[in-house]
Amino acid sequence: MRYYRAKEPYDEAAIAAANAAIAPETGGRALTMGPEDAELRTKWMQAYKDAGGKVVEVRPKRKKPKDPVNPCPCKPISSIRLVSLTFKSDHNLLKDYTTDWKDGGSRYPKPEWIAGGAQHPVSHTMGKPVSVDVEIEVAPADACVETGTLRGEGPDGMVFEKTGVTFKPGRFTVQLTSDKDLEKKVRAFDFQIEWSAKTDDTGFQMRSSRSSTTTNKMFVTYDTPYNDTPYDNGVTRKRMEWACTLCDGDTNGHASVKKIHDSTGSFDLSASTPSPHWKIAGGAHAQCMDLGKFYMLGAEMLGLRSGEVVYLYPKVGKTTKETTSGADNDRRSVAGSVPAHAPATTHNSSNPNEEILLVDQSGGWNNYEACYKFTHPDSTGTMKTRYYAGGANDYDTAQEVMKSVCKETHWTFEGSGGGWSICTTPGPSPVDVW
Amino acid sequence: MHDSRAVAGRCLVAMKRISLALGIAFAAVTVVIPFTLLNCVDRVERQHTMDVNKIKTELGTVVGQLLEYQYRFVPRSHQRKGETSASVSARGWVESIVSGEFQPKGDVGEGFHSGGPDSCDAVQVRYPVVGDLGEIDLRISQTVFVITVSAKPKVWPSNWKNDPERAASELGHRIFIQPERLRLRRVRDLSGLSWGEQIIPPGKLPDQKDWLDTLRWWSDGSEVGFTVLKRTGPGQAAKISSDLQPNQVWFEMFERPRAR
Repeated sequence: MRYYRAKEPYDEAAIAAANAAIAPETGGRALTMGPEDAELRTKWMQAYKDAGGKVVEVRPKRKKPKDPVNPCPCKPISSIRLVSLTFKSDHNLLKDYTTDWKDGGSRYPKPEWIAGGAQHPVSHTMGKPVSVDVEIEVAPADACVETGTLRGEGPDGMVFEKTGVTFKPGRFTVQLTSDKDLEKKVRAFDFQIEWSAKTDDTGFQMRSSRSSTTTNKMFVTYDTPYNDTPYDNGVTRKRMEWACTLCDGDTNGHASVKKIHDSTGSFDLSASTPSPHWKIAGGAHAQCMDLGKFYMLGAEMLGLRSGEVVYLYPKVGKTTKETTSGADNDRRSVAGSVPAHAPATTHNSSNPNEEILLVDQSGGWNNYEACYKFTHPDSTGTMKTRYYAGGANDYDTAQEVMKSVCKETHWTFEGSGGGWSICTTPGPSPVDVW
Repeated sequence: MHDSRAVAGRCLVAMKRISLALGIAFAAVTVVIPFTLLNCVDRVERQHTMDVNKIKTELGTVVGQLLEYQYRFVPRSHQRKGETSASVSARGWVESIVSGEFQPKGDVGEGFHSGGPDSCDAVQVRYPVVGDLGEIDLRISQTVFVITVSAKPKVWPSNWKNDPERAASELGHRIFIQPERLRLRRVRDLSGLSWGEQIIPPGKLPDQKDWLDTLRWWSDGSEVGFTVLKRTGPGQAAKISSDLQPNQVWFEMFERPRAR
């Protein structure tokens, strides 16, 4: 279809004539380029041309028409299906190793729940909300887009809900956070969420059912597990499950440390060093310092970090020395001892110093008693320090530990074969009877 | 190598029997009967190829006792609480110091020695190991602070003849973990036995020593014995001793309740 375009330079007189020709209809207003003024623009151009204005004829190029077939209208949503669930607020440290007490395996992959497939465990801090990504699939492929609500009902009245969700065909992910925090207690339980969805326009519903229920084993701890000591504390399922099952229901750190402490037997002075220390959870024997290290590792697995292993030594005069060194026995030089050794003595042939020995209530020979010293608010909120003695009981002070564990002390000297003997001459022997 | 000396007193009866047997033998046929030393404990004759009394003299009473005790093998289902505890402790040490190749394969019987009805004493495991040296009879005996490992090859390699240091070194490198640390030397030959020890790195402080630093060995040309103290290294809780007194009361320790 052809039309005319004014050619420059424009003829002012012709413009005035054209404006006057359409003035009765426009009232003097300027013409727009909208479709409502198309007829007036044609009339103006004709008047411009008739008034002698120069014009150019424009013939538009031919174009083929577009596809004359229009798309069919969208179909109603026929299904909304749960595809997967990914935890976003978990510790993301848990490894799948369960063979023994060693560290090993790989981190559980995400997503932790897949329809018809894997259901992996997670560990999570107590007293925090749970955040998840839910992957949804809407069918058919040409379903109409609708808005609606996605809802999940979790344990202990916890709800995940999001309104205004765009349910579009195919797969997409929705991020949700629980309206409540996890209960403030250690737990090992099945974290189950029953999911449902409903669209606003057509009211289509995905009702909660077995196929729309996600279940994951969840281990709830006081805080993120720590692995920051010189001793292996990798977060394996076997270790985490042991700690959370043992301390299930605990709401206070001291209660949990006590359970870990009480789970082990008495110290074994003749034990080798368990490697790793987590073998103690499986019944391996250990000396008191290795028991103390195990208590620390168990506590850190639950996210409790306010403790350390300390070594308690009996001092001459029945007081107690507390250090972080495992080689801090009270010593005396054989050469200058009080009382004095005989001028010719073998007590210094291998080692110039004698050391104080602690004889325990079972008659065992000890260098010290090691404890896990843990400071944490108790159930009333008061900061409390407690000494969890390796293979003995738990106490409020170092002196209490020593009074309970120590029977008596002696000076000892080292022999040529590496063994130690009690110095009875000049002694004194015993040095102190506790 | 054998020795015809007897221990006075307890073994007197046994020595007389030997003399009578020899007398009969010489009357009939001129033969040389290999003389076997008898050591008697608990009035029971036992054969040893080595003189445990020499071992007691050289390495201490406890080491010798571990070799001469009569061990009573008790199935796990019949073990008393103290026996079970001692065997768990002993197994921990076998896992800690013995190489994978020389670890027991599967459950092996455990023998116990008790000096009295409630007192401790020792645990022993015995099992064969088959490897590039052929079959070796291994016996690992432990008391509270002392371990002995006896290794007797079925066939003594010919290149070990008159070279007990080589025998101890080749066996030691196979039996113990951390073979790269093992450096043995022969100290002396005395009373028909060769004696040696682990060479401790110079400058190593007494507090830093672990079990391998305390290793001593001996051999009679048919068997090699090793002994170590149960030292775990720096910062250990126990005051380890090779003396007699602290190496008793092992079972009883676990019969008592936790210290209060």
